[in-house]
Amino acid sequence: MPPRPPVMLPSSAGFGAGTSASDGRRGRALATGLVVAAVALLGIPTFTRFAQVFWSKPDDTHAPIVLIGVLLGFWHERRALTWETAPAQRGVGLFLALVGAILLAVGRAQLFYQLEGAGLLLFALGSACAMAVRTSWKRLALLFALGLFLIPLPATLMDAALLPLKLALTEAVVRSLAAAGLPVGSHGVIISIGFYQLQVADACAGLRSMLALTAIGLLFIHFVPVRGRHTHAMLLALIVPIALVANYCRVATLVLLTYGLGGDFSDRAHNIAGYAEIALTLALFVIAHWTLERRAPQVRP
Amino acid sequence: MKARAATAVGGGFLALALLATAGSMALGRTLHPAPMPGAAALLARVPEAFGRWQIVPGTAEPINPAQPDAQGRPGRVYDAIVSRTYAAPDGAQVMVMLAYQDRQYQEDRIHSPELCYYAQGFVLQDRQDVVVPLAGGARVPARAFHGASLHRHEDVVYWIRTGNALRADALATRFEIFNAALHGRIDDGLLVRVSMTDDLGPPMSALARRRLLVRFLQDFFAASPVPVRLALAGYEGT
Repeated sequence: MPPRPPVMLPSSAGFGAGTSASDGRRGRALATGLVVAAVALLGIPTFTRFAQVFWSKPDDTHAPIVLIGVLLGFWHERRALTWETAPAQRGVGLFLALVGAILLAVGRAQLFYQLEGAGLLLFALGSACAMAVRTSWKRLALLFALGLFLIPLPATLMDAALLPLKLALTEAVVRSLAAAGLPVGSHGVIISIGFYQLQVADACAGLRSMLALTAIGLLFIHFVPVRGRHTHAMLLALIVPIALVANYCRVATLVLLTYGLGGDFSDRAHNIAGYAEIALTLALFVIAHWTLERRAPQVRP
Repeated sequence: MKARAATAVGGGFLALALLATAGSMALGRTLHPAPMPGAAALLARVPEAFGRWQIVPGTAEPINPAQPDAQGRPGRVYDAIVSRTYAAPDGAQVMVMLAYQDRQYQEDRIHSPELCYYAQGFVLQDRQDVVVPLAGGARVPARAFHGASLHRHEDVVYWIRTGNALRADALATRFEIFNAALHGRIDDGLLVRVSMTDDLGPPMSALARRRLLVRFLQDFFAASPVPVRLALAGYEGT
């Protein structure tokens, strides 16, 4: 039987490609669709549960923002997922996904959220490994690093690690306010101001919020085009100091509000403080970025 | 790469995802909790008196084993809590707190008292691993610490039973829970905590109070009826 003559399809008209090229593109789109379906099938239940168990607490309001940022980041990098990959790379990708799937299944069955989250991330990493061209790996790596921030930290670790940080921040706030002449003192993480006592919660100053702000800093660096390696490095180095400043401002503001207005704050006030902190962090990054770009040496023609 | 090969790999990922979903459901079915029936009534059978100790209405309010969240609401719910204060003729008082939970998960389990004290404004000092030798030969790995707040100084010794394992270390407890689930068990858990404040009874060094608490735990266990011993340490102790 003679082969059928190639038919030009409208979609490929501009590129002068024949059936095979067009089919190839469609086939690859189908393959990508299958992978996206696989990640969604695993990710949607996982993140739904994380949202119910962790993100609904006032401590963790940052996480959904990071999730949206990561998803936008992957959409942004979608052109890198070309399937122009070596067979070995696809093999490694499938293997990583297999390990991830096992971890996820075990973690989900046991309500071991960290294991489930790590499994999901490994599965996604495997799929990216099978699809993405090598040149995009660096940018994708940043997104996967951000993905780590979506895994809820074990409470044990949090409390062990955040305590010194929290104590130091409490101390800094109390000292500076006392220097300004306010009747403020502290014992451990309890701040007393006037007749009021308030406790510096995990959400306000601690590892959790430091990590969330770090994630937001990384998102900023991912989305805002940064010129020059020097500026890039400087912004990376500024992530932690900026998060600390934002943390300090949040605690100090809440202490001052308690002193000025008195009494209890609702969850909402704490949530608003959380979002204000994110806004402050972003503002500090914009300022830092602007300053660094201005000071950066001009590229010679 | 050929489109067909790409589709095959993509299908492979989807198959893995389906398998993981089905696998987690199947694994979840294999897990069986083993709660202690009538935990509250059972734990209430702690001895009324033993040695020189006798139950009295306590003068100090025991620290709540639940860790309050940022707004001060209790973050954890226990299935049974038994709290007693024992007094000696010399005026010393020991508070016993037993907090029971019928299922232990990685992120939903009995927290160490360090967290409860810390969350309630105590600064923790002199944390130390201690061994409590019990009747019948068990040597329980327990932990001691001193909690200092504005209004109260308290010495605490505790252990946590998870299933049949006795631990004070959070990481070891996590491993225990993981291991139990791999063997199809969801264990129960009990916090055994004794403490004394420094303002009652004869003056004592912190070290002496710590020794007294360890001794108290030994005698308390020995004087408890067998079902309570099983609850406290997971073995009969005879």
